[in-house]
Amino acid sequence: MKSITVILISACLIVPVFAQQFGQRYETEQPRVRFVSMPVYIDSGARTLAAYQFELKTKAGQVKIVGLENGEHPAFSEPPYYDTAALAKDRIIVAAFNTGNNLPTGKTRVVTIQLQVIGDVEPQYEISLIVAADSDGNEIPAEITY
Amino acid sequence: MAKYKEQFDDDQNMKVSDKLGKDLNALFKPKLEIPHEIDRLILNKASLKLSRKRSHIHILRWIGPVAAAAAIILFVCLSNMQKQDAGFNTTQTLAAVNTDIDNNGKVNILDAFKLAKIIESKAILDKKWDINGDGLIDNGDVDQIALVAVSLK
Repeated sequence: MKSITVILISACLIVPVFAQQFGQRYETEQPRVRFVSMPVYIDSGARTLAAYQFELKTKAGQVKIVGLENGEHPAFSEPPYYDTAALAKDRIIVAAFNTGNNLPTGKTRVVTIQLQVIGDVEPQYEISLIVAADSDGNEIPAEITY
Repeated sequence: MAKYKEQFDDDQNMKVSDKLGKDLNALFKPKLEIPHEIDRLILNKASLKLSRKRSHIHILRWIGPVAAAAAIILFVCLSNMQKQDAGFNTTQTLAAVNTDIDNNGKVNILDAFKLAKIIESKAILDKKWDINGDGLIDNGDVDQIALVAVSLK
């Protein structure tokens, strides 16, 4: 009877200690997660920007696209077009247009992409402008940056 | 099935020879005389039970053909669904062709932009631009083209 009591008391003391240690180890094994905003700019120079389409891909790191915000100019204040399947993935195609006359020129932020970065690897992205056009629908040269 | 039929049919297997019957009667005949009424009741109950078993066998006989018929119906339904899927794919392909508004061989946001401009200009609209098939050519079709353009597939 005495030995059983000793065993039970030992178990009651040891189990919480092990549980605490395991919990600490579990916490340290969790990858670091952070959220990053990526503003995307298109510079159409002197020409007005009426439509754009670009593709963003992750080259390195573990990244998930979690959301998009509209652009700074009123012409692109509506949410852009994108495939909802891109959410929680690391690749997205974004596009928008405006048929009005109030259009941006020069460098303008067309969209902000919200990303979830998992782990310590610094992510690398590849962004490519598929098309940019003026108010007549003519393709124009433009530069995309983030 | 044939075994069951033989087992439960009213055939000669259920009868015994007269001599054996008499001997068995002599051996197992109850000392008390059982009234005929009770005998009849027992026999009636026994025949009722047997008839129930026969009805179960009838049901078992039908399970095979019913299962076969169900399988045939299922097969026909599935092949029809596959045909419908093929039809849907054809429609999708047609939609993909029609979404190329500027006919440059690729679908991008400029196709949506150009259709939006055409709609705004009140110009004559081509029926083939009814991408979503709702009988109207409007912003819904423009959105449809834009979504094709940004699709990751």
